[in-house]
Amino acid sequence: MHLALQTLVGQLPTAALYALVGVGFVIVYRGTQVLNFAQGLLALIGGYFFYSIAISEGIPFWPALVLSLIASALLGALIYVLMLRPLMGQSALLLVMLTIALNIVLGAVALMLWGGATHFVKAPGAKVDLHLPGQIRITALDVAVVVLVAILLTAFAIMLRWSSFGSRMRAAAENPLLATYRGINVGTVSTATWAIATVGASMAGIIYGATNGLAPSAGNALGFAAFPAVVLGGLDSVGGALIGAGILAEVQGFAVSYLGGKYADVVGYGVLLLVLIVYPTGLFGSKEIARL
Amino acid sequence: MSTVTAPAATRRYPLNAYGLAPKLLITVVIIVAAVIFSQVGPAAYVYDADVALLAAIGAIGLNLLTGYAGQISVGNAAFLAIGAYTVVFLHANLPFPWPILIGAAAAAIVGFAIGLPSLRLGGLYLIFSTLALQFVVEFATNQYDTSTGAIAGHFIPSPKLGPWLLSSDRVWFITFLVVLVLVALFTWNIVRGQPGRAYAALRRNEAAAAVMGINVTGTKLMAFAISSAIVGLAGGLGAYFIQEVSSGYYSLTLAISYVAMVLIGGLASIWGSIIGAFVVTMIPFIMQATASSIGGASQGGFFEKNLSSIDTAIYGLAILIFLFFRPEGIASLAKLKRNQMEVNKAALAKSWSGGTK
Repeated sequence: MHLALQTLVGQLPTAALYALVGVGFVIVYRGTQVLNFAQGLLALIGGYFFYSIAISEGIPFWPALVLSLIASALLGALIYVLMLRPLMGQSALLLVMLTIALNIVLGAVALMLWGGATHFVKAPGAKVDLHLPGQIRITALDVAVVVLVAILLTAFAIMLRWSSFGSRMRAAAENPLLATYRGINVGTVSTATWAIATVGASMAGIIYGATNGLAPSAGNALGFAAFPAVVLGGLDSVGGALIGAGILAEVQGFAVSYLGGKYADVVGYGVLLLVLIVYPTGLFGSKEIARL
Repeated sequence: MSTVTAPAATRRYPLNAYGLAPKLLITVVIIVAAVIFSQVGPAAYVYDADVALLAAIGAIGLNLLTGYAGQISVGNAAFLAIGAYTVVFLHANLPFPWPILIGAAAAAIVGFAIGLPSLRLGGLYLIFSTLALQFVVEFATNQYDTSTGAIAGHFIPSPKLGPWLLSSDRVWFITFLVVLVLVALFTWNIVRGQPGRAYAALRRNEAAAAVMGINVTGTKLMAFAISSAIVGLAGGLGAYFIQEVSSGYYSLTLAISYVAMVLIGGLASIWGSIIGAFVVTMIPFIMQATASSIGGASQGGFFEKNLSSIDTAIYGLAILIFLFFRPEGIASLAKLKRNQMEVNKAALAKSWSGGTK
C-alpha cells in the first residue's frame, strides 16, 4: 500500500513532464498539421540552453530561466519560419520526414556543442525532502514542478479558450483558409504556436535536467516517451494529452515499482500498441485523425 | 499518316521498346565493374562496399514500403534484429540459407501484425506502431542477451554454402551482390506490375483506389509483409557477415539511418535505394579518411572528437536539403536527365518526320 501511494505521488512529476512535451506536440499538430518528431530534441536543447546560461555563465536561476525560455521560443519560431513554412501544404509524409531529419541534425549538433556527458541543472529544492502523510517522500522541487506545470497548463487552457489570441489560434487550426478570410494572419499564429510548443518542451528539458540530468540520449527519451501519452489522449486534443500523460506516467510507475526499472519503456510502448489496435483515435481524439 | 512505325532504335534493339536497353547496359557494366573491384580492389574498401551492399538490400525493402506504398516506418532496426536473432537461434541446427529465410518469414509475420493498426488509420500511424515495435524488440533482445550471458554478443560462425566457405570480404561481396540483384529484380517486378500500380493509387487517394476496385487491406498488408521480409533477410545476412549479434546494434538510430538512405537516394526508386545506402554508409568511412589525413594537425581537436556526430549531422543535413529542394532524392537527378533526353529525342523525331513529309 505504501509502495502504491509512493508510486502514485512519485509519478506526478513524470506526468507533468509528459504533459509539457505532449501538449506542445498536440498544439503543433493541430495548428500546423506537422507531427513533430523533433519535440524531444527541442526539450533537450532547451535544457542545455538553461544549463549553459545558468552554469557556464553563472547567471542566477530565475533570470537564466527567462533567458533560456526566450532562446527556446526563438528557436521554435525560427524552425517553423525557415523550414516548415516554405513546405506547408506538402504531403504529411514529407513534413514528418523533415522533422525526423531535424531530429537527427539537432541531436548531432547538441552532441557536438555539449558533449556526451550528463549535465545536471541546479534547481532550488532538488535536495529538500518533504514528508507527506502516509510516509510518502517527495522533493520540494517535484512539488514545485507539479504545481507550476498545473498552473501553466491551466493558464494556457484559459488563454486558448477565452483570449483573442487563443481564438485566433483555434480558428487557424480549424480552418486556415477561412481564418485568413477573417483577417487572421495564419503565418504569425503558426509561428507563435511553434514558439509556445518549444517553450513548453524546453521547460520539460530543464526539469529533466534537474531530476535526471541532460545527456544526448535524453532527447529521444523525453520525446518518444511522451508519444504513447499523446496517442492515448487523442492526437489532436490538448485535454487528452494531459490525461494521457497522467495515465501513462502512472502505468509506467507501477510497472517500474512492481516489475523493475527496465520495464518503463516497454510498458509505455505496450500501451501505445494496445491503443493503436483497440481504440486508434485515443480517448479524446476527433474522428479525423484516423485519416491522417 | 495512319500507320505508326516504331522508331528505328526500337527495331534494331527490341529491348528499347521498354526503355530497357540503356538501363540494362548500365546495370550490367556496373555489376561487372563491381565484381572486378571486389576481387582485385584493396581489401579495406571491399569491406566498406560489403557494408554498403548489405544496407542497400534493407534500403530497397524500406523503399518498397515508404517510397512505393507511401507508408513511413522507423521499424527497420527491429526487422533487422528479427532476422539476425532468428539466425542466432537457428544457425546451429539448420544449414546456411535456411535460418536467413526463416528470419525473413518471421519478419514478414511481424510486419503483417504491425501493419494491422495502420489499416484502420492513415499511413503516418505506422510511425507510431513501428516505433513501439522498435522499443519492444530492443527490450526483448536485450533481455535475451542478458539472460544468456551474451552481453558482448552472440557469435555466429562463418557459414558454408556447398563447397564455399563464406568468410572473406570478397566472397561476401559476391553473395551480397547476388542477393541484391535478386531482391532488386523481385522488387522491380512488384512495382512494375499490378501491385505497383495499386500502391501508386493508394498513395494518391485511398478512397479513390478502393472505388477503382483495389483491395486496400490486402495491398497494404502485402506491402508491409514483403518489405519486412526483405529487411529481415538483410538482417539475417548481416548476422552471418558481422558474426557478432548484440541487441545494442539494432537501435533507433540505425532505423533512422535507413530512412535517411531512402530519402537521400530517392523515394520510389530501386537505384535510389542503392545509391542512398552507399552515400549513408560511406559517410563515416570518408569522414574517417578525411579526419586521419588532416588529423596530424588537430589531434584531439574538435573534428577528431566529434567525428561520429559530424557524420550524423551531415546525413541529417543531406536529408533536409534533399527534402527541401529535391524531395525525389538523388535518383531523380538522373531521371530528370533522362526525361530531358526523351524530350529531345521526341523533338528530333518530330523534326525528322516533318522534314521528310
